[in-house]
Amino acid sequence: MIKIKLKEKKVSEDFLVAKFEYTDQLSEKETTTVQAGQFLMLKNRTEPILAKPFSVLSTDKKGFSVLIKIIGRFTSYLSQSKPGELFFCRGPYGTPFEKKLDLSRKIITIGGGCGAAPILFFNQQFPNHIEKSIIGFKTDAIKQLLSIKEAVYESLSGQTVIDTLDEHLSKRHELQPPVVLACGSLGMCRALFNHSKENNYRLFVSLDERMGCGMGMCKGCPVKTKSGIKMVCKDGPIFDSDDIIWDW
Amino acid sequence: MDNNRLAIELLGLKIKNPIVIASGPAGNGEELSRAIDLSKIGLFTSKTVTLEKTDGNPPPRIVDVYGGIINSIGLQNPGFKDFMKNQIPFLEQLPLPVIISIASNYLEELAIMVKALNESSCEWIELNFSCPNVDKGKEPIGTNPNKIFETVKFLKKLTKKPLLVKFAPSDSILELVDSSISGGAEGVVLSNCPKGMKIDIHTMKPILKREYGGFAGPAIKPITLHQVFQVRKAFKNALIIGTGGVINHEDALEYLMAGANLVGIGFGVMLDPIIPIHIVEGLSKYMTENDLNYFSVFCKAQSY
Repeated sequence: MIKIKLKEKKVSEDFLVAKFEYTDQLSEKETTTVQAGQFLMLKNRTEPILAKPFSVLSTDKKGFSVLIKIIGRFTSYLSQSKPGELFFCRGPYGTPFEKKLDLSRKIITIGGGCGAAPILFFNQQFPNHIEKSIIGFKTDAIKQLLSIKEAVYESLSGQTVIDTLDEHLSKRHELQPPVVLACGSLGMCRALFNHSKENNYRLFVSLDERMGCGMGMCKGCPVKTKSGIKMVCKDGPIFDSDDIIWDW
Repeated sequence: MDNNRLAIELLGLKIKNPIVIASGPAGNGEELSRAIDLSKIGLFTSKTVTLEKTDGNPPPRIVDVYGGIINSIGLQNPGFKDFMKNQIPFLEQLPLPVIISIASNYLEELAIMVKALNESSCEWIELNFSCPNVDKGKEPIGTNPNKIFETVKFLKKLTKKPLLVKFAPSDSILELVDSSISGGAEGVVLSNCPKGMKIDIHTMKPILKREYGGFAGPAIKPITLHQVFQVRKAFKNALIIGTGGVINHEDALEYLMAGANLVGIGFGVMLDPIIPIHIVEGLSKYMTENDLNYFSVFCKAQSY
């Protein structure tokens, strides 16, 4: 694992945006290898807690940022850490979104909660391939951390990402059926899967699962697919929703 | 650093150092061999294989607890036939000796696998009699001394490869090990994960779908270390792989000092794949600085 330094941290309710800087001299090749959809395994320096996977929100030559929901021991620890504190990092792991998507067609991207992170990164890496982007949050707490022009706040507008998608689809005049890439809670992904069947679009989902090693060895993060058990970390996190057996 | 201080010969096999990649968290080495130089490690144990394909348990499979994790993988593997075709060739070309781990609660299934492994160049066979995460079979072999004796005795006739039996921590460990050694096993692996659980206080239900899983990580080390210590006192000549919660070279030294011939790393590989390399380096440095070697540490342990 390499050492990284917490550069900046902003917390709003249970969301956290953290910017880390590499402490070792890394080549430009090493610092620009993270692609949208991939994740890094982060861990604090002292406790023997397994490293946790976090999708990358953005990168630059000096480091990277993540958008995190404060939910467990590591994220609580991070929310109380001060800039300058050292952490450990390894990766990147997982398949970049672009490897499984046909980028000759424009994509509708949907992010829910901290599932927004890889979607925003994808939007930034492939601005000319986005048909429409919808980023949904339950509340507008995220406004304190990030300015997201595509954001939909359910508590303010009463609209879910699916309502917003419906609006977009009703106005759409393309001949080809839409392709949607979504990252968010399992509940959101399931709901979108059902919605995709009713509305005839192709849906790719980026799944989140509790992980062990993050690199395919330990078989800790399974997803049941039509072609057998796959690992979210190594075979995903992006999957064609039609391949997933949702009721495992 | 002087790596010769860690070199060992056990059961006629020359081993670079006493560090063993334990069965499970490292899979069959495909990913780990890309992450670290496996030629620097003593031995590699394959992920336990069963005769029939096993999908494993539904998620979540891993839950954090203080000092480690509860895991509920459920022996996910492609089945023995696929293993022999697609995994064994890879394992055989790894730059270190390999232990193949197999499991079943049925003697006939174990016999098929042991016989077939005679054709492979893997060095030793681990009989995993203690996976906490599977139900197949009415009564696990691993807790019944008579069954263990009969099973090992039968399998020993089928192979010249050394057999190691893997147990979970038990108050009856001496009896279980005695059955294994009397049956002809060359050694034991101590210990597999003890069973553990975690409850979600919001849903008021166990987090794991199977309710419990295997408790792994540094928190179990005092228990597994004691298992090794007791067994070494009673069985001076049995080969013991001590495993459970090893994440640094001090942990590994404790196992050697408790009487383990070799030290397995499982959870540590998940924590950070580089840990086994750091442990070898740490052991080597410790031996050099204290002018000790593997044998002087191990002989000290034998003199308790």
